[in-house]
Amino acid sequence: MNERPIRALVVGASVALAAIFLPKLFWEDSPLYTQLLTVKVCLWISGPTKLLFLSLGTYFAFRSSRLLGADNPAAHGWLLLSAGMFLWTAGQTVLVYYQLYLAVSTPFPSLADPLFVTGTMVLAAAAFYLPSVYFRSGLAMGTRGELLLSVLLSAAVLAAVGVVVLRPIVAAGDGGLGHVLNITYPTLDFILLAPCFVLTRLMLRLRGGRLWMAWACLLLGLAFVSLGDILYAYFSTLGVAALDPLLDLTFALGYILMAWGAFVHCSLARA
Amino acid sequence: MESNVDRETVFRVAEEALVPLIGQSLASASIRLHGTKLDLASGGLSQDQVAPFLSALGKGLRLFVGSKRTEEVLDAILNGLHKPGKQGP
Repeated sequence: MNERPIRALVVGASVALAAIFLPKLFWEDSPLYTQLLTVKVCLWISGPTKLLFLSLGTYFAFRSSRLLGADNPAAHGWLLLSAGMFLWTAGQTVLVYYQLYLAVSTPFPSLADPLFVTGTMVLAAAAFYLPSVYFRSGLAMGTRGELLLSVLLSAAVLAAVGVVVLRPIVAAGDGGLGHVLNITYPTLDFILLAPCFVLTRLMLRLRGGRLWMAWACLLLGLAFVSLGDILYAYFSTLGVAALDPLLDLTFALGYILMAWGAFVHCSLARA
Repeated sequence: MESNVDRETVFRVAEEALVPLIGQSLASASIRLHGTKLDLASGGLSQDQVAPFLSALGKGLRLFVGSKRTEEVLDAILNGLHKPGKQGP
């Protein structure tokens, strides 16, 4: 598998998105964004880009699962990762359909929401499953005590932060379906992040190796998407739209990192 | 591998093959761990001692990169041990 074109795509897309969306945070009223990179043009850039990298992530995670072999316990985890990314791809497809094909604002909630929610749950299942598999690899992945400590620590820290973050969102809403989803997304993200921290702790042992690069990108990507969800819940609850470019960038970079991580993993499993 | 191979040579060759994939820290820690578990004393190791050692490393690596890549790594280690100058007394 030739790494060069994928690497060029990943680097090029990341740099281009940052160059477009970061200045928009500060100069949204400039002619650049009112005449050239209008809201519609930005949607045409970010929507298909997210869709592309989610699709690539789904494919490479699925290929990883196949390359690991059906009798390999880690393959089940990679299949779950692929399934989760596939559901997010389907959710993103719905968003692109509204934004680009119908050219209307995406309703909230929409059909995309059950797909994103289910996808996050499947990814969380993968993140809960894989640490136990890798811990039992027989390699020097640490002691049970260290694993238990990282589980307890991540659960405690995320629960504490979660309560602080969720409280204003719970208090500010009207109890409708949109409000319930604004609570559901960040809650699921905190549930997803807990095993991701444990996985990060385990995978830090691989640092310096190519597998570390794969896992670092995948886990950082998941963290970016979770951060995007939490920020989205905050901003939409508070009615702040000015930070939308930041959200676009956060989600897109998250999907790009996940795709790159899955690609690197796939290329390592390929003999 | 007909004659005995020095334990440190086995460890070094295994480490060289594993580091690009799993990094220096995990590679050396895992090699030491399995060396201790299999009670590989310093000095010459017979093929009967090297085989289970490589099998134990391969079992763990297989979870990360699958069987085919693991076979490649294990072959690279065996080839490294066959090279002239790597043999023990």
